[in-house]
Amino acid sequence: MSTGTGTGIDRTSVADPPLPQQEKPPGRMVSSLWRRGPFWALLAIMIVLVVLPIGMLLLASLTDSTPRPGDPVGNFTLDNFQALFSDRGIEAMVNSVLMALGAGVVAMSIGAALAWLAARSDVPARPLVQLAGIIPLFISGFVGAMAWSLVASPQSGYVNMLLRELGIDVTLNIYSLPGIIFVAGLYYSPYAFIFVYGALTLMNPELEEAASVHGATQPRVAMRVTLPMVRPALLAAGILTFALIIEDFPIPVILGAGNGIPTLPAYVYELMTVAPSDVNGASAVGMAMIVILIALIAGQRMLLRGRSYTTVSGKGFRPGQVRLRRWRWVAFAGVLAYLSLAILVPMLALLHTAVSGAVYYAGFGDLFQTDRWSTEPLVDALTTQAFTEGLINSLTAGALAALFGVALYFALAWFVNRSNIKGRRVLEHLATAPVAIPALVMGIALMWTWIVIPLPVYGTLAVLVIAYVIRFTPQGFGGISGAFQQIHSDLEAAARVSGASALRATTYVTLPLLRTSILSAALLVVVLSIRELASSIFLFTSDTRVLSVVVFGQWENGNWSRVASMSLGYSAVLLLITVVGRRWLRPA
Amino acid sequence: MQHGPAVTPEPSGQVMTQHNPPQECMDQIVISGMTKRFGDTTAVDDLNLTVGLGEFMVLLGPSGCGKTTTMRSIAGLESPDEGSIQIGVRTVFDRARKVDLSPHQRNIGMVFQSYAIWPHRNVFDNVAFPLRMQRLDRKQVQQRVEEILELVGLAGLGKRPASMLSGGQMQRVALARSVVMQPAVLLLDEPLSNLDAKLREHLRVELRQTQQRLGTTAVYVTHDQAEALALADRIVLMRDGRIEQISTPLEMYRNPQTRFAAEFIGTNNVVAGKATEDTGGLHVAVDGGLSLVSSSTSVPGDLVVCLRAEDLIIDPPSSFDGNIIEGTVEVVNLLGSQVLYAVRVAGATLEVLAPLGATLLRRGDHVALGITPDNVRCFPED
Repeated sequence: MSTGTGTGIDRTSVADPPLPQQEKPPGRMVSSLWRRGPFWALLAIMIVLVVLPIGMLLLASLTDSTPRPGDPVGNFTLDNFQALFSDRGIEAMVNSVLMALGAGVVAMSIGAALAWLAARSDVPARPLVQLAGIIPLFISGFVGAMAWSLVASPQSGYVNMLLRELGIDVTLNIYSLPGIIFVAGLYYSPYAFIFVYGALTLMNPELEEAASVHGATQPRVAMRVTLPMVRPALLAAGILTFALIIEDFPIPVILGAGNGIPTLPAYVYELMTVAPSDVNGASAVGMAMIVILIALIAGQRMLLRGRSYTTVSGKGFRPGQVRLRRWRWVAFAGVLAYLSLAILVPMLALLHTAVSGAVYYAGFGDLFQTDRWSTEPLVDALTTQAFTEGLINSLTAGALAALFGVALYFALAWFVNRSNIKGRRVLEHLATAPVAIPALVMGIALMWTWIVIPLPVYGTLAVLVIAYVIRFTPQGFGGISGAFQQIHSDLEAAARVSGASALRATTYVTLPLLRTSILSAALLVVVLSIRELASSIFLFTSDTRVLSVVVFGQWENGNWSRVASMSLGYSAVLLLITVVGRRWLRPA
Repeated sequence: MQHGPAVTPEPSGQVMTQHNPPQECMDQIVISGMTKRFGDTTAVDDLNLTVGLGEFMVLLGPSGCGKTTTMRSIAGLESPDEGSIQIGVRTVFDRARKVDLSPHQRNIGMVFQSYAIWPHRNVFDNVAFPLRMQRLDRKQVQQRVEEILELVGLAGLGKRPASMLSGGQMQRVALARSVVMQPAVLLLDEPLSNLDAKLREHLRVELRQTQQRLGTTAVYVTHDQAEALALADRIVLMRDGRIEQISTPLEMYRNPQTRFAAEFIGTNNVVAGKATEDTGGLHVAVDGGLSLVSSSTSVPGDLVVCLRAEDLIIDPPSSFDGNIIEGTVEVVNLLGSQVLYAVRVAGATLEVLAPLGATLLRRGDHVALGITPDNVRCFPED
């Protein structure tokens, strides 16, 4: 050795090529089979979870019998699509489009306004405004619709009683298309908020400053720079909101179906459940909804191609703030009004109905007969076996969905972001595909799939867990995949060249760094699973009723006292999880 | 021109290093016929390259020339579409024989452009990782990590969280991690590009020192010609996935073989012209009116002429035997020990790099620029 540098590092082993271990078999391309093995396994899982159910639905929509074990295929026919073009089908389609357009505009206005206030203005209590932007994500629109039935039903709604009391000859009717639009608009505003807020805060303020420096007035800057910059975000959010509303099940069913306002989801539910049922017709209408959603999403992607002007640069921008001056408090009042309509009024109405134990009153004054108030009906409802079992089922299914879901989403995100296998784009498409499948239709498709597959899944909580895992794949995968993209792939490569296998590199480097995102995705899946109704409605059995199904059952029975009490309990559970986990809950 | 401190040009053009690489010894890396495509683009095109044991080889070229892909293929982070790679006597990749060792089976160290220091681990854990992967016992790990941290000047910082390191410290941790397991090959992917200029020069010297002390074979990727000239035993100049020229830094600087090589190394003035053969060399009529004598062996006809900024001598002595160009100073940029002038001559503006003398020329001054026929480098038009 001739180092003489005093480093004490033995370099002889450096100079000698590692002779003994040359041409070891484990590195051969034979290993590419076991490198690809997990990929093929994952692809197979996704095909069973996503492609197979859609295949079953397609089959059911084109044949004259429902898929049954041993006899999944009937005779080919196109007659089922008559259901879609019947009078009621066309009426449902028209109503659905009107509802989605109207509620979409309402939701976009609310969401974009809140986003601008929270991101760019000096509105008081900005954290509250941010909260207002996303809170409806965690309060179910299903509960909102039932609560608004109490507030503004034409006969006994609290508002209408008040109007009569004041001698105003106006009756607000929530059981109408405008009513449905109003409620759906209230609860679908968060998507617009998230997209626009993101665009506004990630935008480099120097772009706006450049416009002012070169002579543009404040409104001109807004019109010429800010608005065009956030237009892609607005467009993306608009189409997404429209798609989500058109497939929404609980709001139009609760407010419209029984009152002569059919919509597509309500029509599907009706075809499935009201005798004589026409399940093949329901499948055909379901397929039509999928086609509508695919067209919407494809249109969105086409419009947005290469048009995202806001990029995450990692630079901490301080977005410019607009001084509202005397409009400050007006804006704040608007925020409070929104919070009241979306949260406060519905919750108070539920609480009142729960503690007073009645729904029908002679006049507005009777509402405040406090001597008749009692917590007894509330406690009774929340201690029924139905409620406690539903709660346990919901929590169990939510936790299991989070556990398996996150494992699946992580594996998907790893292959999409970190492998160079050619088929990884297929995985990505499969992971985002459930966006185009209405929840209700997914429920039907899964029901047939797991009835036909001879495994003890249908009729157990497992089928609900499967439904939740699939339904929230786009969100969960999206969140984890986004986090993957923030972690430089060099970090993992460094572990690989340092002598770690691919698996070891992932567990040593990537997994710990993704901990927060994984936790966040898991919590989101729990919350969304507990909120879930439309898929669960076709998948539960008497032993596996989840909370949303229990509450929906009470509504179908018309037991309003129970509906109110259980809705409160249901919302309290969701709120509790949200509050406890708010540090990690970042909607993807 | 500035060499790395430990590099002294020998008359033969060979480069001696403090740690003379055993020239007669076997090659440490042999790449044969390597091709890598990404979709329709060919990143590396039929590359053949040999790196000697203990040699410091720099892959130089503009972005997209295939230098990083070449390095990542050596590391096993990319799988080439054709060809083979040998490290020491082991074949780590051979498309024809279906050999493709994983990165962790190749016994290499790598410093990434982003350093890739794991932010959730402390300095010690980052550096100890390769040793732990080799299942060394705790005492050995402790000892080796402390030695290597001392070598890179981070003694005592083992407990510091990696997220609290400065750029220079991160670079040193990355270097320590990549050499701690005494790899057969050390790969460095633009390791200095994220540092400010002063620190970059300082760490350049340190990096070379460390590599020489350990005698590790190194492959270094950069787009910075100054870095390549300072660090390399040999430079591989790459362009569009192919090797443009391989030579020692001095040779690369003095005798660029192609127009691309001439333009890439040094500060250049490139002008188009037409050449005619004549007694005493090539006569070049530059578009715009200049006429230059060149000792280039380029064929007559349309060609491009490269004039290095530092080869143009301002107001040469009367004994000067070469081309004289008359011009007017347009811009004066004081760089420190040197001055960069833009001089307007017939048909062109030439950049001239001159040592800072007793006086500084001023805008509007008339100057004569001298350049020897040797330094008038002519290349055929592409």
